[in-house]
Amino acid sequence: MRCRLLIIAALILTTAPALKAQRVSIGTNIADYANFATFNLEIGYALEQHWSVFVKGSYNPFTFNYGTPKQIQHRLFSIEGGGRYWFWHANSGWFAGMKLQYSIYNYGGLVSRRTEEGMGYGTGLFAGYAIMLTPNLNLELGAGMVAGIRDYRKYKCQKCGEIISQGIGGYIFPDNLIIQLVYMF
Amino acid sequence: MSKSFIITMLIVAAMIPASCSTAGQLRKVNAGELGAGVIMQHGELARMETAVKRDTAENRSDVMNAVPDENGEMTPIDVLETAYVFAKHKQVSERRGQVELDFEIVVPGLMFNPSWQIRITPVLTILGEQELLDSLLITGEMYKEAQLRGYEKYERYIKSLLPLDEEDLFLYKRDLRIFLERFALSPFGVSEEEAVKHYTKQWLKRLNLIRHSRKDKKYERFVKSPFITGGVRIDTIMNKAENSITYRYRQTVNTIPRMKRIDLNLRSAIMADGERIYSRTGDDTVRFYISSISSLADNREKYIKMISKRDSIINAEANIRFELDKSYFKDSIADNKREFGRITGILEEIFENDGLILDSIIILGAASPEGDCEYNLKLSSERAAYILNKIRKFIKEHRDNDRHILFTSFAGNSSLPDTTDTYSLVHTVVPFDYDKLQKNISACGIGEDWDGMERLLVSTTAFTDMQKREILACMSLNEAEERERRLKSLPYYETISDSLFNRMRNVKFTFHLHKKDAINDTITTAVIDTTYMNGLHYLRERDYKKALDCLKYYDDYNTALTYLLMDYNRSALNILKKLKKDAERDYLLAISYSRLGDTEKAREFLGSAIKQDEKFKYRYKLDPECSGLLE
Repeated sequence: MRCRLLIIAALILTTAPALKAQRVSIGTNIADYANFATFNLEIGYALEQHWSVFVKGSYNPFTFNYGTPKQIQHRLFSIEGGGRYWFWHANSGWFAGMKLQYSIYNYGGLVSRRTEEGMGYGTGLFAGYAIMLTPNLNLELGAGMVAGIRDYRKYKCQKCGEIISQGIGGYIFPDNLIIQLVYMF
Repeated sequence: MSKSFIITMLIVAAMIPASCSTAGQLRKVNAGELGAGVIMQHGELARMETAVKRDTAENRSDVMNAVPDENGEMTPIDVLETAYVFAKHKQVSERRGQVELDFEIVVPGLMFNPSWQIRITPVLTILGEQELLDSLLITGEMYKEAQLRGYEKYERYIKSLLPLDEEDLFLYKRDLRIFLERFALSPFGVSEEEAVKHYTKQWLKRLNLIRHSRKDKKYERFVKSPFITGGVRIDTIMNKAENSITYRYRQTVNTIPRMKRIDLNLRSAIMADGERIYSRTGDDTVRFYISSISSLADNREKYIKMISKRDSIINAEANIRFELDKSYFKDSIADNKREFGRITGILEEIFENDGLILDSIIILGAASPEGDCEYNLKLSSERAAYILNKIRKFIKEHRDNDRHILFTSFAGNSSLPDTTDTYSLVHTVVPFDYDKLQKNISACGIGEDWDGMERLLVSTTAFTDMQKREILACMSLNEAEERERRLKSLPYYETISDSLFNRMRNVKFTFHLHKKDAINDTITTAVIDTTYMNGLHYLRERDYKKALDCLKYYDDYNTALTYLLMDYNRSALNILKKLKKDAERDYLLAISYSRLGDTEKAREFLGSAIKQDEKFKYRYKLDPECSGLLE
């Protein structure tokens, strides 16, 4: 997985000059690192003045305090893709977007010892504002909501296999806070 | 409030004006019928107190008009001084088309209050039209401070406005710079203009525009009482004064036609916090009467004077045909008899006309270009001399025949036609002086008359234009002999000889005449001179410019008067000196000498004027030029 991302990144970096200026961007959401150090990378491509598309991958392999009662984890692999509408111009100013998301998750020990793992299929809406820091660097600020269906299993504790419940349910929550640094080639 | 409290308060207020409340003070001012109390003083005229209306007690139950006396009884008070005018002289003299008004404006101490501004405006009424003079402003300190504060506020507001034309101020400059740098290639076809437009703070622009448009409203709000810049004579700051303040006001007013009087009123107003809390134009009027020397105009009617020319000239030409090379002529040749008869006919006509006198006769003989030039000159002189002799002979004969007629006309001059009316001088009849005439006949020859030939050539129809040009070309040569030779070589020389040369052998006569008795050329008719009378009309109406336009060519008394009125003293003096001596002339002379600084002469002429006419004894005091001359 990581390999693939690197390959894509390398590919983009090498082909960037050919792709003409400022269409391709790469970004990472700083806020996600606060979420138990979730790595994330977003690659965007501006189609025209108002529209751009992106794909984003997030990955969190970490389990903290492993094996202790205080074990805490928010392991996550998710891939999402979507489009943004830029009210003025791609990569500057206000934007709003929509995305589709697939994620595999496992979290526990956050509020109680109860742990849940599963897969989510969701769609999200988000909006924000891109501040131009330098000609190549943007800071995007924004927020989003996601809603979808999850196929889950709930465990009593982080480490045990005792299933409390399992099934398919819906979910809706504010899924991300965007404090994203974006580099444009 | 109880009545006694009010009264007590008012007494205190009256005693210490500074502590008086604005309202109370104003009511007090009101109660005194503030306005232009008029005071006239000539020399030592007593000062009149401000006009007070006694009947206010009936119209108004205003306690302001009463104070309790020592017995506790209510006694009316009415001595409330307000601004008034004081004029020393009500008779003002017009000089240089202007009058100077000199009066005093007295503002009583009661009117001063730190939070008031007093505005006093003299109002002139001239021929029913009002004219405001510059105002006097007396501003209280607090009033002034409030004014200044208002201006400060307004200034702050103005400073906070952004200039409308500087687009830079409304840009998100950093964003625009980054954007333009980033999308220098404009991958999505966004032009720089669009980008600039996008990164313009439209809201700020709009807000600034609105704020700009509110400037006037803000001015009204902040600056309730703006400084008065124009039309102010003085602007002084005064908080309180025990005594009244007197301001001497001088104003020069240009006189206009038909202006005889100027009325002066005072308009006073009290401003507090930018509002006019009191305003009034005084009822009493100071009247300034304008005295002008234009009243000295000579109103007699003037008749048109005609000027007829004394001298005249009669030019005559006789085509007397001499034979070739001969210096005498025969009556039998051509029209010689008729032509010479024409000249003698003119002479006879002149002799028989008693109104005309022949002064001299000039005879010019000419020759055709044929032959030698010098010889021709001699010949033409001889011919002229021959004619001269014939004319002399004719005159002599005429004189001998005519002598008796001449004497009758000399004895009884009633036979002369009287061409002039009664205003003309008595004619003197001069007998015709034949001897003098005989001496005054001159004759000379001018030789070959090429100039005459050119004139003839232009008017003749005997030649075509082409031929005329050829002849002219020949004539333009320098040498007379050469010209003749060239003319002879022309195929149509015969025609030239016939039609031109023949006519060049002629004699010209010039008679100089003059009209008998035409010593005085000017004749006064019975027709009224409307131009002059118009000028006189303008003069009386005090429209001196127009008057002078009409009168300037007459150089008489009225012209001099007009010059004096317009302060052209030297022009006036020059005319007056030439006029016949009388009281009016001497009076005007006194004025002009006085103006030119020659007091001695002025005094002398003033004395002379008074001696001739008593009225100037009283008149001279009205004219400042003369009033100081006699003790």
